[in-house]
Amino acid sequence: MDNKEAKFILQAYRHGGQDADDPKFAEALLRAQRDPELGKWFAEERARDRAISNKLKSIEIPYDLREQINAGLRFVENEKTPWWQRPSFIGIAATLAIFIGITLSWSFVSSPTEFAQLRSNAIKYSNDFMTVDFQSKDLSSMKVWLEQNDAPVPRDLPRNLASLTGMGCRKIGWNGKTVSIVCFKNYDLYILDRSDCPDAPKGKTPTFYSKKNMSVASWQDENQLYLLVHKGSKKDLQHFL
Amino acid sequence: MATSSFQNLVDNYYEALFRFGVSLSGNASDASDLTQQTFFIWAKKGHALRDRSKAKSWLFTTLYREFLKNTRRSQRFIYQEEQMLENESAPIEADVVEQLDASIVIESLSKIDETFRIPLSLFYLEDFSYKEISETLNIPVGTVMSRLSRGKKHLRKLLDDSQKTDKENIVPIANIQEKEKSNG
Repeated sequence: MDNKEAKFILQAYRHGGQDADDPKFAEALLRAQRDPELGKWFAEERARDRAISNKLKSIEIPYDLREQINAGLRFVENEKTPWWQRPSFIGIAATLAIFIGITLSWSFVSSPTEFAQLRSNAIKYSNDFMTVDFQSKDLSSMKVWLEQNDAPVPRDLPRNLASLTGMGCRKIGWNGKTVSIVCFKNYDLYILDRSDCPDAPKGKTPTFYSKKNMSVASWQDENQLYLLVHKGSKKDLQHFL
Repeated sequence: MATSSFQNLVDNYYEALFRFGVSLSGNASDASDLTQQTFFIWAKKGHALRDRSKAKSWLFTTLYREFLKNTRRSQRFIYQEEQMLENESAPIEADVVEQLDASIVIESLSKIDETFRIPLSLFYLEDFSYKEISETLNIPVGTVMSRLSRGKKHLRKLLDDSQKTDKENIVPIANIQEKEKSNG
């Protein structure tokens, strides 16, 4: 361990000393004790952390916040009154009956397949998605990170797609299965084991789908299923496949 | 759910949750809503949590999720990060931070991208360990350390900038009076 690495680790050390017994910090702490330069840096780091922490903890709490939370609790407690004792139960029951009727009839008309759910979730996720677990422009580095984190790794990507500049990647769970997301600028590639979504369209030829302003291309190779999600047209996607 | 245990939970964590809410949303009004919503969800669903020692982590995770639900960000990544840290100056001294107004520290924190701001807030506000941050945000430990390191650099740079701006804005009263006279 050199001083640079020690500093990186010690930046996660809490200024109050609560982490003194955590073995993760042991070597870096020892080094800070022995190396005067590192020791000086560490003392300054803790003093600065303490000052920032104290400032942030001085944020004033609204005087009525506690009371408002307790009022919310009383509301929940009231909700626990047995339903048959509530005057509105007939109305609720009638509404529920209509709702169940509509839901049942809908489920007979349209039962989404697992693949359709996956595609729909991917579109929503790409719309809302904010952060990556690992930032990198380089696809090879992202592959290494995914491999190390037991997430599906993209294998033979179309050349145009593989040449895009990356932004990062992350690993998520979906219905108990592991999904990798490799993010390029404006394009998100979802990868999962093809056996995790058996009803997905087979074959290497991409299948396209569009909903509002989002487009998705999906295809498979020998082992994996890929979904490329893009905020834009099918034509944009075709360029990379 | 026993009312007394709920009350204990409120008393133990509502202030810390509110402050975390401020660091996420940047304002007291949204932070109050987030805090109330978090306890409301606990009152309805908290009984499903088997391990009560995880209540603290559960509350912070829930507040964070509620914040994400209410936030639709069009900008997914911050490109300025590398550029921002390029001209890194000497880190701001602790005694200088102590002289700053708390609102400046909060404002500076709110300017940092969420990726770094959220672990940083948990670290500074609630003394979360890197392991607890990892558990609360569901990100690997190494990623937490990296985000803390980068987040700290961002925050110091912003604090340093705000302190310099403050200095530049200080004008001796005599100069102001002189200017007013000349303006008639």
